[in-house]
Amino acid sequence: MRWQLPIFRRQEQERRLDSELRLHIEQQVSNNLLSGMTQEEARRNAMIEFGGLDQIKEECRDASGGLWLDTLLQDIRFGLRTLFKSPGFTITALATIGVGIGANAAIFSFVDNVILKPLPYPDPDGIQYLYEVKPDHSWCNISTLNFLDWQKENGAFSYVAGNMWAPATLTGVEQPVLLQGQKVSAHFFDIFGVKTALGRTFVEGEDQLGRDHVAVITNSLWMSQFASDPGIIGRSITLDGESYTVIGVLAQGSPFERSYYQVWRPLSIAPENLSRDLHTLMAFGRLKPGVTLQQARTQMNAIAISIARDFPKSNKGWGIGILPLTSGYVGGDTTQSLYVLMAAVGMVLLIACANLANITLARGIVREREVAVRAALGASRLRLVRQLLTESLLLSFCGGALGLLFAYGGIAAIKAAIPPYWLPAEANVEMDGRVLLFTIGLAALTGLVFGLIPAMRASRPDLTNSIRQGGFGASMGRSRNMLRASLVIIEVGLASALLCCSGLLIRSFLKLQRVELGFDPTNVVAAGLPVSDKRFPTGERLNLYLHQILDRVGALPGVQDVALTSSVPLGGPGWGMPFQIVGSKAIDVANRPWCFVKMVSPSYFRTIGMRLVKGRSLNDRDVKGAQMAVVINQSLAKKFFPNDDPIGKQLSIQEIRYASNLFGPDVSWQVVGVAADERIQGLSDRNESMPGIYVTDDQCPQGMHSLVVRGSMAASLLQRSIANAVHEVDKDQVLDGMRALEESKSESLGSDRLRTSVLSIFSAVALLLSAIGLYGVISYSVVQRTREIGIRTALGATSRNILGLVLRNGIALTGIGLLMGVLSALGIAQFLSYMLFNVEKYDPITMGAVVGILMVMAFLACIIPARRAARINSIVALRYE
Amino acid sequence: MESEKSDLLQGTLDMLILKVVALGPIHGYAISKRIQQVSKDALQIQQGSLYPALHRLEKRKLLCAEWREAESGREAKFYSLTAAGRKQLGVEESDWERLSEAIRLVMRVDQA
Repeated sequence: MRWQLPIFRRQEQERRLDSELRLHIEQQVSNNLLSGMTQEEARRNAMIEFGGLDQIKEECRDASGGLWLDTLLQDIRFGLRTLFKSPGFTITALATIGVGIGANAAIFSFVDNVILKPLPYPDPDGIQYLYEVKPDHSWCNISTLNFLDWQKENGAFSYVAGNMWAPATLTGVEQPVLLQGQKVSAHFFDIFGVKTALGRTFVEGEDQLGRDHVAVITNSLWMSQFASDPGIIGRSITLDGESYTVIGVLAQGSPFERSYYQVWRPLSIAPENLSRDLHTLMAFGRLKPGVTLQQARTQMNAIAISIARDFPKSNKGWGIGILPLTSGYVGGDTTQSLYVLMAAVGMVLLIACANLANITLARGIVREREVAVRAALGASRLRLVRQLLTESLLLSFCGGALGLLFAYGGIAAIKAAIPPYWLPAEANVEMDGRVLLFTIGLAALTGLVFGLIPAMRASRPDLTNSIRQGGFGASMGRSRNMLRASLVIIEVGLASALLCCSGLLIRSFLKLQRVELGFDPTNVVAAGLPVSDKRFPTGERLNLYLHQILDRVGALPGVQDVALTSSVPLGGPGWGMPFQIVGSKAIDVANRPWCFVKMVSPSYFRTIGMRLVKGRSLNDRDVKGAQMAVVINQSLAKKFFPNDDPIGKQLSIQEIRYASNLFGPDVSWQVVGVAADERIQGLSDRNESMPGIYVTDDQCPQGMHSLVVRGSMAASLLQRSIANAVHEVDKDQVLDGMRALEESKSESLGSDRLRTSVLSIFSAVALLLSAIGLYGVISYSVVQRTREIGIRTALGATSRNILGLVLRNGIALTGIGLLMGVLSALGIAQFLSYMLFNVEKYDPITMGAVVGILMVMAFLACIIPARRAARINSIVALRYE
Repeated sequence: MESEKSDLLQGTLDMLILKVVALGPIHGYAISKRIQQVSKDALQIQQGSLYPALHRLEKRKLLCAEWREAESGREAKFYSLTAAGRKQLGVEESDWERLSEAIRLVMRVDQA
């Protein structure tokens, strides 16, 4: 048989069916003629005997089967026509479904890519984090010698690779730039199976001194800094003043491309850095095939015990931790936020479904006559349900397509709103096949959910009643009204639960924003000012250079104060050191408490506006040779000097040597002052209390400084002149990531802001949808009760009475829903409680606000139909039927 | 005339059609005429039943159809039996034999 397009085949079938049946009639006619009838009689008799041509055709079509597609097309055509005939309904429905499905698809793409999908590495279950466990069970980076022992002695891992943060200044290009980077062991890339587009990754032995001047760079760095030079492999680049040969460029889609880092160099450990006290390394391992996590843990435990036995001074009580990458690469905060949002969009979609079911029910009543006529003409119930379902599916699929557009925009908007690197590099959030499938499935489900009940209802009409013009009898459709009312109650319930949750988050967010920072970020900018250790032979020379920069920037018009710090405010603790109080019982280094150490210029406190609680600040006399002076923060004072005056006490800390990773013997630092805590990690850390100390950069020089500048005007206006001043001192000095502290502050709330704002948007949508639902139900009930209202008016009810009657109706529905919603919100709030800051789960202000908002919403939704009811003229109303 | 017409037992129409078609390729009108003639007008096949039945049998691959010139000179759809149709006819014939024999036996008991 010749292959034909289905549509042509169908036409051909139709033509043949027609001629087959017509031939029959004609033969009957000629037969009749033969038996002596007139032409006219013969034809008439033949037609009568044959019966309904179309009906027979239809039965033939049914009999030859394969035409369900036909019926479907017919249903779709009819459905489209119906939908086009009521554009108001169609547009509302499409927008509702579009928003509902779009929100779900957008959030799902995050959930899927961040949580559900396997990591984009070959056999990701074999990749493990390795870390040291301190005697107090907290985690710690690995000391260099311990790391080498682990690498050598373990039999459980194919590879153990160390890595450490190693930014580097790239020069020899147009503008010197600080590259974020890592130093990694030779097999680091092999553990992750990360491939290059050009060249290769490191090989065995390249992480040894002498062979380690090679680098692997990201594809984007290759494009941006080296203009996609095809001859990049083998090219020499200058990092921190030293020459490195580029041996590899990462493949474009590699997860490492989305990471924070741009350049990788081999991790070679210089002899002077071999130590058990210097905890600088992080490590990953790949389990050998067939080795279980438990076996690896047992083995590493044995190694830890033998190290602790051999080196008790540094390692007594320390252990080794192993954690599968799959379980640890997404922060709990991210996961929780995503689940909360997913639940929220799910609720929005449910509300949307309830709303649509409601509108469709209302339409079902309007269309009752149509359906009844069709049923009377012989349409089977199944056929009617199918027709009505086709309509809702048509809507939900078109809405789903619209939703894809919304989702596309939503994903882009959310990605733009979240802080950089908040998502794990492994997650490549985009509209992919899985999201598409999810959307299609959701559209189908939506269509069924909101279409099925109305379809079942509408296909079982009371024929005689409906066909008669009536249909608006006072007692009619009681159960249907109950159904619609319960749908509205569900909507209001869901919306108020959502509102409660977002209300709690908003309250918490507002409180977070008012958290005491410990400094004043107004008009302050900060920028990294990295200087390679190799550039200056001594700390004094380095400080001379840095102070030159300080003086130059400080002299700028508009600059109030300028300071150096080893770690910018809200930029994390930076250095951390074990310490002990002189005079208390001696503890070995391995078991001392830790505090953060900030090396600052004495102007630091003034510049960022920190408050001194006791004693004096650091000053220009705290230089090398003078008594080592330290200002401690309040957390340290409270925790370690609960009953004493800390001023004059001494802290013993290993000497931090310039340009060396090894620490010297203990040095005593005299406490000269106590400063109020400054926030270290950002605002999202709920109960931060980190003991810390401040020392001058003269007494403790090091090269990774940042510049903080307070302007007498908006800091953004100063950025250019600050950069110029720095470059006047040294044109190759990098100023990294200059930004206002206000910006860091708001970024540190990124996670909270994201979930709060997204959840608020969704609750607003939910509120709007339920308002529409309520409006629909109340308006319809007013139309239905026209006659009743007419009678009441005739019996003397005032328009105020009628207004109250209708309003009470709406308020009652809202009240029931509200009660259910708030009660369930109390349950849901359990899951939110860890996200809340200084807000009770049962926050009465939030609950009160939600009740208020919903009541206002109910009033607004009901007032229009209520006023319409109040204006009903009794004479007209009674003639209504 | 209406009252004389027998209602066909469910399923017997298919068998009659197969039987008639087994005699050679034949079109719809001729099938109904042939059944009418052979049954001496006792069985009149409604067009509303005949054509859907033909299409159903074709769908089930018991009949195959071919368009060719009829005696009137017009193109007509000629049905003929397929191998499966022939087999089906055999099955239905023997079923029918058994059924009618059974009914005959029962009816005889009644009369006696």
